[in-house]
Amino acid sequence: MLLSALAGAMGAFAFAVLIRVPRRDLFFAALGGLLSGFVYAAAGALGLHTIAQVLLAAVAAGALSEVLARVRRAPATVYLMPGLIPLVPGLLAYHAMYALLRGDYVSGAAIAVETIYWAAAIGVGIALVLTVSRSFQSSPPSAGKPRARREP
Amino acid sequence: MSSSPLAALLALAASLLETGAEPYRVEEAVERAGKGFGCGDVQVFVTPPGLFVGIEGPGGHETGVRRVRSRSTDLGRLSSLNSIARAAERGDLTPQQCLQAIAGMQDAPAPYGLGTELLAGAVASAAYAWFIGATHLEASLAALGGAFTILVRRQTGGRFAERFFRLAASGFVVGLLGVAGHVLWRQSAGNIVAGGLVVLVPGLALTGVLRDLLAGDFLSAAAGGLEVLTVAGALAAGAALAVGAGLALGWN
Repeated sequence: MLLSALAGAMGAFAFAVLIRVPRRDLFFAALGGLLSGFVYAAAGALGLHTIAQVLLAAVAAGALSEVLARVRRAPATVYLMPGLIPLVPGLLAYHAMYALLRGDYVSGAAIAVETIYWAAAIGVGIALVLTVSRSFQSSPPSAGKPRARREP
Repeated sequence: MSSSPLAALLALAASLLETGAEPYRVEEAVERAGKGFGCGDVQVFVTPPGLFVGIEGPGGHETGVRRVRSRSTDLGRLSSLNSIARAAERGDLTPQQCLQAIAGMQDAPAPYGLGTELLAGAVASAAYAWFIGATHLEASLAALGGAFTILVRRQTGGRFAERFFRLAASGFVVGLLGVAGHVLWRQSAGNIVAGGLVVLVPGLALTGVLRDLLAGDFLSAAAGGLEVLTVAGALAAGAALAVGAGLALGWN
């Protein structure tokens, strides 16, 4: 579990460099990976389903990113993206591709669907956090509201 | 006033979109900045490949279009642009100052050099490989692949077709590393390939798509979703070519 968290932090730190997170935020970006790696492994140790593991880890990373964004006054994306790196369903995608290559279309399709579920779990997790976080915002987003036209 | 609010808003919107902001965020930021410049009515319509801004400015109604051909993720610049947008919203910047701030930011050097980026690519790949349970040898091969994909990623520009083939080439080389690891040292090719390609995975685009969906911006979500599928397809096609060749030559 600790090793997962450490690998998550390391991956998040390195990925943060690649998406050009400023130096002063790198450490905080790594925290996201630490948390998501830990939550993923801890949920696994509790015997939860893989998709639940991913969902919980995504919610944790998302919540942390929103908190950090407010404390450090930077866009939440700066902390969110690196935090999600451990959750990327890369290995599943590979297995799907491999099964399809071997002509095992049934397994390939099944694993591909699982990969989509996995990605959707990340998305739903972030969406949950985003929706809750937006309802706490001081000024509501102006998009979508009809604007009064100024008469000439 | 030597430069119009419209020019500043267009530059702000285009730079935000180019550095990886979601379209709906660009719309919000530009609407607010427009109010800060004292424009009466600000209409912003942003899609991933381009944007429109219309304002009621000092000289009556004005509309401008900007085409955005390449988008990349640069969160440092995105942060700075957000600060510029917020300053404009508060009325602390004139359109002229806003344009200067954006231009100044674009001249700033990249925060990390080639060596640092290569190292980061290697470390990110190795860390991800360990996370999914790879052996140290698998993680090392993944790190090699990760550094290579960063080299390829630095080649920007060109049409999308060129980007597609660059991605496929990355997938192919990392796939070869996986095959080599499997054939030479009986390692898991999956761990190597997944680790090596993790830095190219369109994660930001995917979360952007979800945010667009939540914001009710289905046009951007559809465009972004297709991009995610195409990028993932390019990586998979490249890796499949290498692994398929390994299979055809009878590995195991």
